[in-house]
Amino acid sequence: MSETTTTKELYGLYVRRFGDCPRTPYQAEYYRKWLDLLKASASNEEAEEKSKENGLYTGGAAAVAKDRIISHRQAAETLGWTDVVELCDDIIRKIEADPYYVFTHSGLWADLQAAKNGWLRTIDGFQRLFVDFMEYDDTRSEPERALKAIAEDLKMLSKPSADFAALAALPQFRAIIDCSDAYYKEFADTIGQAAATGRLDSITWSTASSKDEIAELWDNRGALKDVCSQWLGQPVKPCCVRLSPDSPNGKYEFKEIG
Amino acid sequence: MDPTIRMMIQGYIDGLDSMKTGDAALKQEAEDFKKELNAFAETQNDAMTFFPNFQNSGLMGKYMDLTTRITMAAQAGADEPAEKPQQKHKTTPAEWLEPFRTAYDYIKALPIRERGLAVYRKLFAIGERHSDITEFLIEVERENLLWKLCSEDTLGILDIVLTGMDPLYRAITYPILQNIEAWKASVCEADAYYLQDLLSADIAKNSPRLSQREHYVACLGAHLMVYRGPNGKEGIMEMIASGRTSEPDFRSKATNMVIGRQQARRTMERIRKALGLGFDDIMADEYLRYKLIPTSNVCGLSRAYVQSNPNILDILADTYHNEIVPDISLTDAIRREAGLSLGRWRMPESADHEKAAAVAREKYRDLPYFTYEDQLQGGSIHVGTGDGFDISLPK
Repeated sequence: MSETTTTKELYGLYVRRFGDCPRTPYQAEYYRKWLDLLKASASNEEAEEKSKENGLYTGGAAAVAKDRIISHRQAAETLGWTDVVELCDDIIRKIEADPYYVFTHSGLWADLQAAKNGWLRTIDGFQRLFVDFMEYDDTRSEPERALKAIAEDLKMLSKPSADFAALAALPQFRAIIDCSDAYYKEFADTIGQAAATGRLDSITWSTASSKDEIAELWDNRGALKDVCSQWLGQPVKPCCVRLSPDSPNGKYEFKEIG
Repeated sequence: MDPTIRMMIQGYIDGLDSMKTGDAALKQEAEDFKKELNAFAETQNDAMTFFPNFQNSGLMGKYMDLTTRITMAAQAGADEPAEKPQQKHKTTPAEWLEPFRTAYDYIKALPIRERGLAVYRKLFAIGERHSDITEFLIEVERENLLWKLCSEDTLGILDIVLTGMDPLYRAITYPILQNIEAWKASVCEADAYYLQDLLSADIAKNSPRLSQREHYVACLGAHLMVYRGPNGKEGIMEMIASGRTSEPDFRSKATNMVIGRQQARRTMERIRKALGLGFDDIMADEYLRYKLIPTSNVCGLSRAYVQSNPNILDILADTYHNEIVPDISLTDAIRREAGLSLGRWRMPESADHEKAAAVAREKYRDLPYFTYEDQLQGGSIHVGTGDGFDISLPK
């Protein structure tokens, strides 16, 4: 097989792999152009010389960079992260105008990550608010502490809105909370109220209604001595190490450690 | 710039610098190439994807071409202008693989990366079968080996990490399992970036979601412990049995029983409303029921835990069904102990932690995570390809 034939076979493989992958249109195009050039040339050397004239010789790095942007853009589009899509489009336009843009503006990756982080941070903040709510709701005894945590977590919300109520009404945010619709409504109402008014209700836990039974227990302590002694006489079972199984369907194994 | 990438490109730059030429045009070309290489390296986040990208960018070909021409010019005479040789030296697979051998030598000190190292060895074996660079590259491309240098290396590490985790603890295994699927599905770096972007959003949404119900159950367990434990019912029984009853202490513990009972009832009602789960559903869940009691990880990434004897769960279930749900007095709650023989329990102490850790390490010593634990935690392993790809390994 001649050298040109094998080179064409190699570039044909590149075209196929990058062409098959929806994330790599620019690399697919880059190698397709190379393949065309090879087909139109008598030798590899001739193709290489022509590539220096038409810019293909230096086009590979820009193709890699643009495909990376394309991959982020496609993901952002799937996720509905509109500002990230716009940013990607803007970067691609700049690379189209200047193939070296990606080399001279290395901060663009950080800008892109920052745009994505806005969405991820909002998801994180929303999840944290639910944990704040669960912790508060468990006893409703420390509203001040809960309000402080809620205020911090509300600051994390930004995409697609900084408004908690607006986010809570979106199906994609409903989907990330593991609870019934009725409990979700309580969560949304309670955090919404805290965000709007800076106030939360509280429960005062009292033993007032149990005064008599506490007094009764104190009075009966003598009569309960045998029961309590019998309980105290039972052996203290040793602590254990709980060993996890090898599969999610397995059972824990216990070993007593004294 | 990533320090490993810096080291890699320095190898190429040193290689160029060591090649002397009197040809001003070639010198300038070498300087331009170094600038281009540096700029390209600035755009790369991870050493493992550097080679495939270096190849795909065309820079590796340019490097080979440039070094060949400098060598040919030197052979022709340092002072003569370097004309393109009539018979151009063609890079051999061995020459092409030289930087890969350098990378291989660097990472082979980390056996945890065996899966990635195996791809390097495969690459070298193909190199030995071919004298023609194009035929060699065709075989490399047919197996997509340049991408597999990265993906297989990462998959190998993720598989190992997984063996250090409790498979029932889905909140921590979920990100690793999803990453494994994404890396298996990817065919090139851009594809991996796409899948990882989707994955980072998916993990942000679902990993905390998987642990939300644990919060409720842990709250219920805490209230049951306040009711039942040494500061509640069991504390009172111990005082009565020993005859050392201080009234304020006694009343404080009785108050804990009352408050613990009220709060356990409310929390159970909230669990029922939020999750539709009853107490028996919690007890029937192999993972969730242990969230009722205090436990501590003693091995790997939550592979084993130290805890009280499991009889504590029988005690808490009996307490819930017979003392929390029905409206019985504190006195009757103690009186009913007469018919029970569930035994006593105690909280683990620091010596128990050490013993539990030793038992667990013995049990799991052959699992890959524990074989390579030092490498995983020594900071020498980077999982992912940077820029949001990272998976931080819990300490």
